[in-house]
Parts: sequence; structure tokens; C-alpha cells
Amino acid sequence: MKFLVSKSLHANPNFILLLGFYSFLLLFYFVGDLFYLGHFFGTDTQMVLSTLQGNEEEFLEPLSLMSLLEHLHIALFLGIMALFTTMAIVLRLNLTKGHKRLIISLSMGTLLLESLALLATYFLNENFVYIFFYGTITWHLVGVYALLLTLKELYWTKRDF
Amino acid sequence: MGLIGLQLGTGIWLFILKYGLTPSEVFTYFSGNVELFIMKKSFEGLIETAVPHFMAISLIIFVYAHFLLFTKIISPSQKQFLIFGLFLTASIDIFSPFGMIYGFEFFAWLKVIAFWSFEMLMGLLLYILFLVSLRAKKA
Repeated sequence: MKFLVSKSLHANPNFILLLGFYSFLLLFYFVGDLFYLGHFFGTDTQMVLSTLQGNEEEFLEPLSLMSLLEHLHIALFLGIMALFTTMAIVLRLNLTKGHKRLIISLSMGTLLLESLALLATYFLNENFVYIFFYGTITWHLVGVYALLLTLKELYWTKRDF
Repeated sequence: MGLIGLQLGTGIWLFILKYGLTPSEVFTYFSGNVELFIMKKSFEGLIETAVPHFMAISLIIFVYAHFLLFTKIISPSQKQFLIFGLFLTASIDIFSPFGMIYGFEFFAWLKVIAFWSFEMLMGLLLYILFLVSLRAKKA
């Protein structure tokens, strides 16, 4: 699987420029998406449950299935693309195999789990909200961590050229 | 692959919920129906859905289908058929609503056939990639 044309992140200055800008801007995606999700669903598990199930006392209607599916459809695509490209870069970082494996499996695993947990919270049992809530935070933070490692290796590591 | 499978699943679920299963239901959704109080979709509204799908679906096909280049599980001509089929069905699926809003019911049939063909071809692609990954693990 060769998404990046070169094994060396320092292959040429334009490559560093491309990866640097991409990583920097994608940081805004991972952080900004947390703010968006906090606004859309809520900032704690009870608020998420109120959004999904409605709340009579606060006159909140439950989230419709159509809205939930639309959110999931779009969020999954963005998450897959963001993580897939970030992990393609992680594969080329100067880290141990175990470290890379941890970053990749934790981020992509929690993305899958939280997406399923969102559906499970809606249809099955409200206790799945904890997996959704903490899973969402986890993959976003792992994404940020991976991008910070990338920027560190691009700009604070000895260059070959 | 699990993630993209879930992505496809939500897409299918949304299609059925929003448009329905039959071409007549799909046509009614886009062209409107006065008796059912369904408004005809506007050109600008269709553009809002079509444009992100052009980017997204092209990217998804590109990312997943390019793995076929590294496999020998199917012949080169079969790979070409699969890739061509994915892009063609996706294009027809995205363009069809524009024909429906101008009253051509034929495009409803095109959309339904193209959508389900695309989903089956994507399913086939994911299955092939799954087989390849299994063989790679055994080796």
C-alpha cells in the first residue's frame, strides 16, 4: 500500500510543504469536529441521550432517523478519509512497529466502534452512549497525536537532503 | 473495510428511507406530487447533494479500487470492468435526478438500477479486497 510516493518524509522540500500544510490543516478538522459534535449532540453523555431520545422537560424532540443517518453517513466519510490519509503518513514515520500499530488500530477501531455504538444507543440500549461518547473523543485525540508526531518529524528531525 | 461497509449501509438505508424502493416512488420524490404535498426538488437543491457526492464517491472508488492494481486475484480485463462499472454507475446515479425534475420518468429507472448496481459492485470490490487480505495473511 503506497499512498505516499516516497518512504522518506524528507524526500524533497515540496513533499515536506505538502505534508506539513496537510497535517496542519487536518489538525483543525480533528479539533473542530469535536466542537461540532459537542454542539450537535452535546458535551456530556446525558446531553447526547437527550439529543437522541428527546427530553419532555426541555421540550426537545428526539432526533429523527433520517437526521441520524445523514449525520452518520457524512461523519463516517469524513472520518474515514481523515484517518486513512493520516495513518498512511503514520506508516512512514520513524516510530516502532508497535507504536504505529497502536495508533492505527486505536484510531480506526474506535471510529468503527463509536459509529456502531451511536446506532446501538438509538435502537438498542442507552448504555452504548458511553462507547459513542468516549470512542469519539479517543479517535479525535489519537488523530491529533498522529498529526503532531508528523509535524515533529517533518520540522524537528534531521533532514537527509 | 468495516468502516466503508458501514458507510455503504447508511447510504442504502438513507436511499430507501428518503426515496423509496420503486422507480415511481423515486420519481415522485424528485418531481413532486401535488396530491401528496411533495414539492418538486429544485436544480440548486440537487446541486447541493450532487457536488459533494461527485467528490466523495470519486475519492472512495479511487482509494479502494487502486488496491486492485496490486492484486492478481482477478484478470486485468475484469479489473477494468469493475473500475469502469463503478464510475459509470456512480455517475448515472448522481446525474439522474436532474432528468427527473424536468419530468422524465425514465431517469427514475436509471437511478434505481444505477444505485443498486453501484452498491453491488462496491460490495464485490470489498469482497475481492477481503479475499486478497486473507491470502496475504496466509502467505
